[in-house]
Amino acid sequence: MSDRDLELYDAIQRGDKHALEELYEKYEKLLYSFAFKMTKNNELSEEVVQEVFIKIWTKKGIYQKKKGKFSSWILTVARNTAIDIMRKKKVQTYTLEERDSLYSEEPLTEELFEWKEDAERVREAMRKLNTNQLEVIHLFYFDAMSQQKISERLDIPLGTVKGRIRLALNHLKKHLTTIDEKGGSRDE
Amino acid sequence: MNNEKCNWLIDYFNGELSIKEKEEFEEHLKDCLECQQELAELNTLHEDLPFASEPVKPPEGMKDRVLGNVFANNETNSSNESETVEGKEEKEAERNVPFIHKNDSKRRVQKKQGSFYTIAAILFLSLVGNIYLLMEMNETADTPVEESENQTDQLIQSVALDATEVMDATGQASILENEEGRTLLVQADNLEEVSGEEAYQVWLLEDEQPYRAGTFVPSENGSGAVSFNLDSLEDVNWDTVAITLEPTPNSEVPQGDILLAAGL
Repeated sequence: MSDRDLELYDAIQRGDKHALEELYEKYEKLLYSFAFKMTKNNELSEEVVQEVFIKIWTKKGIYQKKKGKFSSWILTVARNTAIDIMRKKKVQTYTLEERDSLYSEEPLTEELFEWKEDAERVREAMRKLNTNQLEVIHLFYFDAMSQQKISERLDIPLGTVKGRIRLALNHLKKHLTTIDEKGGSRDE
Repeated sequence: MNNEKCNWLIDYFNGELSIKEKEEFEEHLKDCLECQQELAELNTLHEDLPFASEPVKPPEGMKDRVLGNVFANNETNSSNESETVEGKEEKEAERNVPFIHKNDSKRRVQKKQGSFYTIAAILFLSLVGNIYLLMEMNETADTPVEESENQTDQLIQSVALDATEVMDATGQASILENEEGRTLLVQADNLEEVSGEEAYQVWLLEDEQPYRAGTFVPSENGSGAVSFNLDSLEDVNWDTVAITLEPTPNSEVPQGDILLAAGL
């Protein structure tokens, strides 16, 4: 799967528009959904996706193999772009009503196509977290809140925010490892 | 080890530090193994967490818009961007650190350009609302500025027009000011020949509302220029210049595709 990404990326370096189109088609929904999870806004999400592909198309050599898997790299760029755009537009990360809906696990009517397995794996691990752990991960990773804001939101001392995040992430990692060991079919 | 700066890690990862703080933290990071390790751990989250996003269907027509804008960006960036900016951004991406665009103005131009692909269609839709204004405009739109001998023109702003996929043209828009007011000067090269009544039309757009701003026919070598007295549009808060090829020199709304455009 990632070999194809590299092939496409190489072709894009040579100015191959079809390669960019193929890469776009592959990542459109994943990036859009991720950007939407962060910005909760259609227009901004489209802007994020556009910025990501403008970077790929215009900044030659922006991705190199040593930077790790292409899919992780492009998601990193997407997250940073979303943060950048949200800051610029001063987007309020979210309201309380939104937060309620954030944690209700609704059955998925649509899937992320080829990312289905990845999605199921992460979601299964997330389901094993308790509400507090889930909340701190959302505030930290998807809402990209500052330490100060997280401490206010959770009403905990500033100095303990980092520890809370680490703890939640350790739990997540642990669950992911368990799932990988149990599943075993996910060899790269 | 328990440096105060270690507590900046979260805000660093989330792009919350000021430029100065960011530099300080990166300095700290060089010597702090603990922070390096924690940052590396945080960066592995990108391999997993984004997949937890609930699938959302991208809006109608997004692919065409995005790809259109991406490809329209091609030339502007490769020619205008300095090596250093490119190098810097690359370096930042490498560290997996949120980056902040230093070049705000450039971004805004890109954003503007972002909607150009759809502008032609939108312009068409807004026909009814604008027709009254445009008819009124038409009287004055093409009046070139009279040159008087002892006035000094001052360049207020100048911007390169970005080509779209439709035509491989180049252009420049400038605003000049003298005692008599402001003038928009638009030049373009590498234009395709016109046939019949066709003419190139300059538009000023305010939130995608078009205002005529000069008509011209290119010379044999594909170059053309027009000047336009901006006083007649004093009340219009336009933000974009665009050129289209029109079937006749008196289109009141753009009928052709946008060939060149820039935010101004």
